[in-house]
Amino acid sequence: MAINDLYTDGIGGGWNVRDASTLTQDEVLEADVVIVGSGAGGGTAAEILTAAGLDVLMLEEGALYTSADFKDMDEFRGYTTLYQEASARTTSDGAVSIFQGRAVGGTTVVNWTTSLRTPDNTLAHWREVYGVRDIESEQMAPWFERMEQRLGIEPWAMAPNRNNDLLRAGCEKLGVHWKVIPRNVRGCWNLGYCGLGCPVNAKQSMLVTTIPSALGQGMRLLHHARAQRLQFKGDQVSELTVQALDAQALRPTGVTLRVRARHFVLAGGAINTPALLLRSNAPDPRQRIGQRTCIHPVNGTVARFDDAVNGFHGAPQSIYSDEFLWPDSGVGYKLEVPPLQPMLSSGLFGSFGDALSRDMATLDHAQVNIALMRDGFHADSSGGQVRIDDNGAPVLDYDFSDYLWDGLRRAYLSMAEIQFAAGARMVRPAHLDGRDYSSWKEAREAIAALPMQKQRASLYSAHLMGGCLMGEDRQTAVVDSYGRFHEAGNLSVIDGSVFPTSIGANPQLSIYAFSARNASKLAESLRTA
Amino acid sequence: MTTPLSGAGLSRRRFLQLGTIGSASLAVLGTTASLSGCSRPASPAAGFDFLSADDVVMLRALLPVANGSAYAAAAARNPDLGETALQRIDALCARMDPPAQAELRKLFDLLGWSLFRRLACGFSDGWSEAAPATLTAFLERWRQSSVGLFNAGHRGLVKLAGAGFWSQPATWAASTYPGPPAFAVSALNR
Ligand SMILES: Cc1cc2nc3c(=O)[nH]c(=O)nc-3n(C[C@H](O)[C@H](O)[C@H](O)COP(=O)(O)OP(=O)(O)OC[C@H]3O[C@@H](n4cnc5c(N)ncnc54)[C@H](O)[C@@H]3O)c2cc1C
Ligand code: SF4
Repeated sequence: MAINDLYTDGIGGGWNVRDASTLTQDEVLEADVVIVGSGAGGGTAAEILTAAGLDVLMLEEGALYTSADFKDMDEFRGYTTLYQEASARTTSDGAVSIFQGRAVGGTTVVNWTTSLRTPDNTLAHWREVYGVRDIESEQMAPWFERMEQRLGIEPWAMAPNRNNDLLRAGCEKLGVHWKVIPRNVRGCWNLGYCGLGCPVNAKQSMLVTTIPSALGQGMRLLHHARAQRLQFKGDQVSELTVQALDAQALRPTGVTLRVRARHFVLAGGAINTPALLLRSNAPDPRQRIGQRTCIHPVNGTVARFDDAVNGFHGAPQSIYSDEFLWPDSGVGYKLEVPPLQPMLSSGLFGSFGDALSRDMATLDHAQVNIALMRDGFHADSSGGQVRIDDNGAPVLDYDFSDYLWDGLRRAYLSMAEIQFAAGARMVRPAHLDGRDYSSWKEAREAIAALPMQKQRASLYSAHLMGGCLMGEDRQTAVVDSYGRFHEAGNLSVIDGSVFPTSIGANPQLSIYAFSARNASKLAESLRTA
Repeated sequence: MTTPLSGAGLSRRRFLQLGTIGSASLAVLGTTASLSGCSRPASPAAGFDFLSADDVVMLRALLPVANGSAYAAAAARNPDLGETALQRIDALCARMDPPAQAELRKLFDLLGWSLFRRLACGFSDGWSEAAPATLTAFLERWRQSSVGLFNAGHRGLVKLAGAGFWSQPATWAASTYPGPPAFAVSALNR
């Protein structure tokens, strides 16, 4: 069955899509609005701004890959072509592995389709502590609804795969909260390869929804094009310098593009957007750019079950638990599971040599829980910091306070208890000192004694948030409550970097809703201006 | 999540800090390494974008040790497996951003230096001569170390070796992975 390749047809039908690696001469480009980045924020903004009749130019540093490229469902191809730094990005000290997308469609091309609204508690916290305005739950609800409809977001109606179902079973047994995950899919084949690009265009990523719609209405897309530097003149951005990248989308070819626009929208994601502003020496009187980068730090536990789990197949995430998300004291965390294809899984066990070979020989019986720490809500958790190196490349520093370590330890405990309740034969924390424990009692004692240290605990992040905080108070915020840059009139940030804390839920739907809200406001102001 | 930790964090400055953690010899080593020009940019080996000839020798020795018995079994059936793993590791390294590449370069350069291996890794044989048991002991030593930088080095090496190996279809039998669902593969690739 041939899957209709949207881009072959669209480009044949006249879409304006260009590959900057093929350019041989410098150019000057003009547009009403230029959007840097084509992920959750950039894609959402593109559709709205184009539909408002504006002439939009979208820039993306990654390549254009489509469903035809994803048919092999191959991990190595996916991780090396669709992710920032070939999925090898980490915090500056190497302690946390960072997963972010880098292709037309951004991280939405590789995300796992979990689509949850911003929790009311989080919105309230942003209003109260960060002075973000017009984000009452009732004010945000229409934006969530709009994007849920746009992207086909519905609770997953098929049976969860067993990796997810065992999280459900354990929670059920212990009488703790669990729920079915809403996913942004239409006609999903339940394959499980969302992280490598959906081969059947079922995932409603920006690649197959908003970007084609904007291209159909005349937007121009230039990929292999890295925004390098904004030029500030007075309280305006006058120009953006863009480097064309080679066919591999790695090194500059030497061709430089200068882009002039009425308005500049930054949507490069929560590491690259602040880095671009820092590289550009953007006005930042209170040194707020890059501060408070939250990452939902993730730890995990690996369980073995007697019956096969086959966690490499089936929709990757369909069940979650919020039982531990809002505790009376200490950091809260959300529980989910990851997909378990071999390349991704081989690092989870924390073993090497013959022990790793043994662990991998029972991968089909492994079940893995992960916990996402709700960082950024407490004085002892203020996120990390994005800075740039001497050449302007982004670097993320992130430290763990005792407050966070305490949460990570409690999370190992919660996850192990749920796995034993679901019938696990043994459970191992993903930690260099983790062993296979054969009972909840043994696990509880051992986890209580685990050294909670960087480099020993295996830590991950796939959710980058913050670094260009929104809010009305210029002392703390980089952009206003609608994403407009405080220090320059014609610049907005429309991506995950505007959030003042982590979300406490997987971020994509929050980014879609805030981006739709802020892009609509921007379209209005540009039309009337 | 198994893709390599890029920065093993072994910057020269951090190396000097190790001295304060307890091992004076390491501090001396860090300084000597920089004075003797050990962190000179290594040029990539022929056919590689990032790995130098020395890196290739080191990783070729570490691949079987880091991945264990499954490696020898898979390699026996697939003569190209080791070279493919090296190419894959090279592709990953070549796609890292410059800050991560710089950290990795420092780690690889230090590992290529016999004095460093003697003091920090517990052996001074060349990578191609060292016995598998010696290399296993080295990985174990860095894993057990109370110094976070060595733990980071351990993780980085094991993850790179793991990504190069377990990503290959030739290893699926060893990881019980049937590959993508057959019905989808045939429907999509018809
Ligand atoms: C493996 C994985 C699974 C995930 N699963 C989920 C999930 O199930 N549910 C969920 O809600 N969230 C999930 N997420 C997170 C979610 O997808 C992201 O938070 C979201 O896409 C971020 O949106 P963004 O607009 O901030 O940036 P992105 O979507 O990351 O887009 C930024 C784009 O800008 C480009 N760019 C950056 N800098 C430049 C530059 N200088 N010039 C030109 N282009 C540039 C990048 O290449 C990228 O394509 C997952 C993430 C990962 C990695
Ligand atoms: S699980 Fe569904 S959405 Fe994900 S890759 Fe497979 S078909 Fe696409």
